[in-house]
Amino acid sequence: MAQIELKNASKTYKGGEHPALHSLDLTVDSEEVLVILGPSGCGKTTTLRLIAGFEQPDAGTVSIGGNIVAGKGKFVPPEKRGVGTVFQDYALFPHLTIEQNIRFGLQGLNEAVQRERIAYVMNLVGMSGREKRYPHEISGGQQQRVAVARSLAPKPDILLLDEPLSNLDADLRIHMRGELSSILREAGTTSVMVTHDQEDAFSIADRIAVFDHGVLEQIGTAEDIYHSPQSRFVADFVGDADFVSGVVAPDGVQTSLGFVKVETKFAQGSQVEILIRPDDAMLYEDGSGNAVILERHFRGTENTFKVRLDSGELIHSTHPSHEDFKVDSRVRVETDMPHVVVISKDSGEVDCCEQ
Amino acid sequence: MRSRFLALGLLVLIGTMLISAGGCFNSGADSGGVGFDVGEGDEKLIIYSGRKIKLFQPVIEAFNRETGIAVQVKNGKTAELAQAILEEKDRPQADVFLSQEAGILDKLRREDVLQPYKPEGFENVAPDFRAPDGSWIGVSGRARVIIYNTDLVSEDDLPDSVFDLTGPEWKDRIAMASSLEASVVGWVSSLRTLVGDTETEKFLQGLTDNNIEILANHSLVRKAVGKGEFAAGFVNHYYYHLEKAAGSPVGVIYPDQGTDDVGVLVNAAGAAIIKGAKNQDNAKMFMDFLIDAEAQDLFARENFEYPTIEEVEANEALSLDEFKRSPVDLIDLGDKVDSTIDMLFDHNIL
Amino acid sequence: MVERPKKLRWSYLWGGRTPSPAMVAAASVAGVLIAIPLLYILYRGAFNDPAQWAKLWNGRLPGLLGNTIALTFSVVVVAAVVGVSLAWLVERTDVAGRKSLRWILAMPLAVPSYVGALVYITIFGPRGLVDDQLVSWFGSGASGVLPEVFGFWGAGFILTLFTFPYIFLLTSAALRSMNASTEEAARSLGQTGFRMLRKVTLPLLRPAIAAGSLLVALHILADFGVVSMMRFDTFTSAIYTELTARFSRERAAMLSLALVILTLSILYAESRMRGRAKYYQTTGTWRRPSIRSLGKWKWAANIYISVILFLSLFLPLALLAVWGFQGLGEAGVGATLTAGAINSFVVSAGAATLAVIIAAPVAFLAIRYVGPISSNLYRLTQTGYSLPGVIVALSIIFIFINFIPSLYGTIVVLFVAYVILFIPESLQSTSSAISQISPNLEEASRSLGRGTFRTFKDVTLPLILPGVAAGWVLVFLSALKELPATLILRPIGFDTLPVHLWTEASEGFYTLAAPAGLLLVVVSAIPLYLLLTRTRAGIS
Repeated sequence: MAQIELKNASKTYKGGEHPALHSLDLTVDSEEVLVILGPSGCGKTTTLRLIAGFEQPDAGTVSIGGNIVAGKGKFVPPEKRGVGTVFQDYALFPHLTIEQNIRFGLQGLNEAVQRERIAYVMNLVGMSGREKRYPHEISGGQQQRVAVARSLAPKPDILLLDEPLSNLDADLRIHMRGELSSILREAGTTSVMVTHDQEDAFSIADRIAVFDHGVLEQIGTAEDIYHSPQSRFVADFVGDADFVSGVVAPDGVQTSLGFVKVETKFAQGSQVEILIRPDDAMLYEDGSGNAVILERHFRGTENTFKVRLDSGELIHSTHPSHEDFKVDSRVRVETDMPHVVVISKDSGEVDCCEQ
Repeated sequence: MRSRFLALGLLVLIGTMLISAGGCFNSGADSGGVGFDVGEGDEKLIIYSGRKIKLFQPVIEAFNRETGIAVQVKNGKTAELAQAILEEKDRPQADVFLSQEAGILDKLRREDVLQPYKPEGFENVAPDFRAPDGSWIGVSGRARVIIYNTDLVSEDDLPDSVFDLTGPEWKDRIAMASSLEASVVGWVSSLRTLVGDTETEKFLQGLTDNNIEILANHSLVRKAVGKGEFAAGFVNHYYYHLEKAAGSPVGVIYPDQGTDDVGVLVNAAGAAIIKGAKNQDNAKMFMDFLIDAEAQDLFARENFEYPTIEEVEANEALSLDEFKRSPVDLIDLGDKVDSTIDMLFDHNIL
Repeated sequence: MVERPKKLRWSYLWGGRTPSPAMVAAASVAGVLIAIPLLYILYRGAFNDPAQWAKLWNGRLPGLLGNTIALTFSVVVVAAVVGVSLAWLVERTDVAGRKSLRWILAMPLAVPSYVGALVYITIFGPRGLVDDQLVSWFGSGASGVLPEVFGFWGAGFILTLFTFPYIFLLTSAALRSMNASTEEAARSLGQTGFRMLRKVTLPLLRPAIAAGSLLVALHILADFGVVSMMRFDTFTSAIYTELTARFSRERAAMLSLALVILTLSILYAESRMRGRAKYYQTTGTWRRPSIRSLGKWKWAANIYISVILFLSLFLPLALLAVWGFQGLGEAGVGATLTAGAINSFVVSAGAATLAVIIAAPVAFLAIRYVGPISSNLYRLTQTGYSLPGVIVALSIIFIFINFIPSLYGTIVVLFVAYVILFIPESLQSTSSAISQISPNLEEASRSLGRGTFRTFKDVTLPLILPGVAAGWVLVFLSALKELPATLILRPIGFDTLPVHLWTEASEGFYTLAAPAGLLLVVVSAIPLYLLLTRTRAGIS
């Protein structure tokens, strides 16, 4: 059953020209981990704030567990929604110890239960033994865990996480992704997390919702989103992407990379673009090839090359680091694409096809 | 912990506040503040006083001794207390109002907040020092004089007339109080009555051309002349006595005494009963007392003021009938206030 | 096209979210209070013959308005430079005695500025103490060589000396709560010294400096005591003229209305200047900022601070002490003065407490629920500060006599007057404290199950306590010095120290007035010292 349901929800901030959220329909299933992905200003945080009750929708409704909590003249304040929130800056109360921070949401329970819950969540996030510290006395990663522990302590039906990993350094971030994913699943709450980082989304989400300019572009599993984007925006935003122009021919598309064999619904002769991921394009040393290496980025186990096609278009290609090409050297580009994404230049329509 | 301490502190403060609002601090016959209480008892009298309280206290103490009526005084500035009386019109708080100046009393009469009463001896008060219907009575007179610094002005150079001060020899050497002092406005109004608007304007322009310094009040004028910042200034006569008593080298001139001259304006400080006052009877007793010889004598002796009843002698060489008074009606002067202020403003006397 | 909601919705008036009714109710107390003078001014002033307006305006008003604006602008600029530089020296450098300076530099607020003016006139005025001394040394030719103390420069000098602590207090509170990492980040980006001060520290301090400057500006708009003694006429002089000389409440009310409009335009301009930028401190990672060593400039800094303190505190206190010593010899001042001191302390502390409580919800709504209601309530509430005390007093008489006569003549009316007159001081300090706190903290509390009110009490309040305490101190000091409204509204027999001071000084008996003045400074010093050194307000 749908644990969270937004119907036709819209929100425009005061002074904002464009709506932060435009007629959003979104459902989140019970115990699901949904990640909302999008660039800044896309409406993802607004969605979270509507669910939490920090904002009221201008139109449409927000329901939790089948009951309307906002809209149709009703508004349930945040404290009555049973929704926990982890903030980007963690929002730990600086004047309270770690333990007092966690206890904050447990008022009304008897002391024994409180102590048991505190011990449980502190253990869950691996922070036992640091109860008496103040927030400024622990590291950023530890603050993040405390923030998660604090929001989980009252056993919320729903947990909302607003860019919880964005303030962590790279190593810690990768480590915490795994931690967070397992914590959320162990706690078994319905979770909605907001991020602009696709790696976060891929490693934590059951489903991903991609937002742009206040509109839900696509929702689905990580694989759906990556391989079968339903808009040029999604194709571009999720994963590294380059686009190469082409013309639809019988049985395929003629591009500056050569002929790509694909069955597309677009009419013959129409102008299209083809999505090229860095792992779709293979480079071969060839003095008479169709492209020139512009830049080389060393990334440890692999190299990424920026290549200019003779048509002037730029694409990227990754190779294992032992396959090296010199900058300025001429190469041949070949494609090897299990999924081909064709985008009509006229309508912007997307056609995803197996090759 | 500290925040709890602070919270506790705040609670204590709120507590004290409530208690004090309940009346623990707000009165106190023994606190004897500057707006003071004299005596205790069921019979009482509430006075709003725009008069300098120190000069008035002996009179009130004498009244309390004589009648046993407890007197509570709220002192302040005459015009502001008068405005307060107007705002309190529907529920009067004061029984008696003591004003530094008759003009304001007459304004209150026109606003219908004064209770006419003719005390015993009303007829003894000079007619121009009382409202004909008894709404207010002048209790002491103040003459408009020139104070000068004896170190800076020699006997030979003394002016005979206020109009002399427009002469070039007085440039940058004179001061007067601003129009915030009602007696300044009253004095200029009297000049308009006596010599006409054109002459008065010429006079004011002459003062302005002489860079006359405008100070906020008369006390500042007397101190400035006393210290020698200015050679001379226009004040009420008792400021001369105060400055003299403070040991300054000052002298006084009663100007314009020639047969064709305008004379010296004598204004009156007065008293009135407030309409609807709770202690009407006590207020009447107080009015009786004020124009009784004993009180009049106190004014004259302690305050250097002119008694307003004839049988009491003034403290100084001059008494009311010994110098030429400007023949003007104080009530008429009240009518001129607005246009006089405009005239003063036109000449930058603010 | 975006659909706009057809009906103007309640939530829209609050920036899209509805605050809790309890909070709105709490904030409306301030609205009711400020309505007292505003309604009175409208009632007395707005319905006059339009010709009266023309007459008022054609006279000397434009000049007075020019005087007021020039004086306000100059004093604010100089006071800001002095206040901010002192705050920076005390909070960020190793100047000698920085701990004690925190409260001592706020002490000039304890000296009523009219007393300051009197002191300077007595010392440096024509035939003043210095002049006389010069004459006794060099003969009468030396008289008058001192620069003129009166006029624009004198008034500006006195007002600057006794108002810069507003800016000092609020700025140093902001410096104390500013996160070190911001400045460190700037330094790591190669910003050093004054460049960092200009590029990073000052912009972050802008809300505090703006708040302090606003208090100074509104204070000058309302001032009559100093400008009248310094022989410089401002707009307030005109109000007093109409009220006192012409005896016209109507015209005084009309001018007050103009003053309210001037104040509101200053407040609008200020919020425009402040813009929509937010200045939250990141939470959780607070660290104490580092102290810079001044090195060879240390002596210069200490001389600078000493000069300011000498002029604004020690000189007035010394003369008061000399007078006071003579005064104590002349008359018995014991019991009366003690009663006055207790009265003063009680009403001022009570008014400060009330002002802080009443201001808190207004500041909270203005910062957190930005919309027409909260912003305008916030601005309107501050107009009382620029009104002359007499006008506020008359308005209170009017309302109480007509609607709540049973409370008239009690000290409740004094509390009401002080809150109306001085609430901006607590509003400004409280709101600049709230604006430094991330709203996420409050939202976190809400999502942990605490309602608006408990969130305010358990999260916001403990964190803004330094700002609240600073506001308390400011209101306390202002109420302690207040004269014009007190003179009219005090219950009979209830005298405060400024009433004593005025009664004696207005008759020219400065030596008798001095003990009350000294006592006023002592009574002020105690809470200032306690709050700025013994509590989190001073430490955090």
